[in-house]
Amino acid sequence: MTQEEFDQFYTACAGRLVGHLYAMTGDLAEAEDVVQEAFVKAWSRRESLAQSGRPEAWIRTVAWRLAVSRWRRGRRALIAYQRHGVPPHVQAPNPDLTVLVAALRSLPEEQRRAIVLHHLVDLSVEQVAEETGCPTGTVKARLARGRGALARALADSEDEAEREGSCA
Amino acid sequence: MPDPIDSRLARLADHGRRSARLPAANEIRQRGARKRRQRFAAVSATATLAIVAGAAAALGGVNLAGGQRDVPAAAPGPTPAVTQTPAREPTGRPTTSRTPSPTKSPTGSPTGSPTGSPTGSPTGTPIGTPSVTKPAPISSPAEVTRLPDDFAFPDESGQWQERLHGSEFSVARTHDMATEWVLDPCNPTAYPTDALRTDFYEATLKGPEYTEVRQVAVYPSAADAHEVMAGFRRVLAACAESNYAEGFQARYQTAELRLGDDALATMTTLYQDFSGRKEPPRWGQVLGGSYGGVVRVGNAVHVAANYAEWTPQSPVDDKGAIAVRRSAARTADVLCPFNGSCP
Repeated sequence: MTQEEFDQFYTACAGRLVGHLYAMTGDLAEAEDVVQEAFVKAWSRRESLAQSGRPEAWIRTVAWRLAVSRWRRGRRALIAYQRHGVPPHVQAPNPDLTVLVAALRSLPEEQRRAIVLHHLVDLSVEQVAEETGCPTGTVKARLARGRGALARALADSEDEAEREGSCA
Repeated sequence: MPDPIDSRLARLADHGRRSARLPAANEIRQRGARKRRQRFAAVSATATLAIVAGAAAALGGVNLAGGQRDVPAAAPGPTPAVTQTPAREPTGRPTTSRTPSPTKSPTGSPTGSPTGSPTGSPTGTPIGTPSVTKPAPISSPAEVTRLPDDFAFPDESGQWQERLHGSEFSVARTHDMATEWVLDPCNPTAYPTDALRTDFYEATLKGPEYTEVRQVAVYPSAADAHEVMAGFRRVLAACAESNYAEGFQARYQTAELRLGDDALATMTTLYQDFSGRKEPPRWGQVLGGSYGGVVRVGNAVHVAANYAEWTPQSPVDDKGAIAVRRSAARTADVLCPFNGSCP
């Protein structure tokens, strides 16, 4: 991959990948940071990136692994803060999206990942299986459980909002 | 009607995309280039040259990071038993030739068939008849125990000159008898037969993310050199998988070659796998690799090794493997005085 090709790839995909990782992690700063790191890694290993044949999936997978690795090390936002400082003011998501983020965060990480890949990235079950390295049966189970849990979490949030509204 | 999950996720992702604060592409590339240099430096410092190894195991075990690992028992050989790497002159060439008192085997009958010959299913198609089963006669036509004073590897005056021209490549040379073989699968690997060297020369071409090493050692007799080759095979078999303290793993593979009196090809894959599974490294895990060619010509042993950020596939068929094999063949030709095969 040449410098120009990499720059085009980065410009075209980085924002979209932040969106995907935001949905997977529920944390925008974290998503920005792991996507950046994944692109840094991609340029440092551009032969592997080119060899993969699916550079966007490569970046997404690396970014996801970085995010998971950070959660497990318990230093989630620290690196992002160190690199960027305190985040500047960004437009807050509307309440509906805030509810969705909270609901996503309540799911186990692999269910969340499967849901994002299938429902947001539009990958088929087989493609999700390939990207996550799991059998299709496992992916189907994660999707079913994840959708169910997400629907319940969203319903609970809406009920709660209604109750709060009725008390006001 | 779209699934509400789909549309909600799409809106969330779109919010993330629009709000994302991302640096310019050139900044990402700069950080990537820095990471690449650091990684290469770390790898090359320890394992660039970890290819395959040697004769230490001929007479004992090899020292591994976690302790002692037994290697296949050595067949009795003509070399004196040396259990530790003895102190040697730190630098410079020997001032006197050793008195080798070689115990020559009958011509055509190998002394001590290498019990540690390549196990672990060598990959690739062997070139020619496997030399393990029919090694060349272990004898020297004469006691040529020194390299010519003006000895140089053919690559030094050949293709290296092209790389050196106007580039960041540089060449280092040494005659230090204590220089270790580049073949170090056991990390570290001791080579008792190094003590028998009567001469040694190494030349290294080093550039950004690419290294070539050429080494040649001379022994008192062809039987000694044969023992070195046998040791290489034993250690390679014993340490086909190695873990490095720097957090990466190395996998070694070999194939027999028909070159000189005895030869083998080696391939090293350096990779990072945190899964703990014993599976072949996959793309994305591979940090780089090296190809090696090891050839004995009479009582001289030559090792050629090239390292880069390759993803090696075959120790025989890869382009890198072919290049290093050709290099080893060129050197084998100029080592002809050691087995009397000069035209």
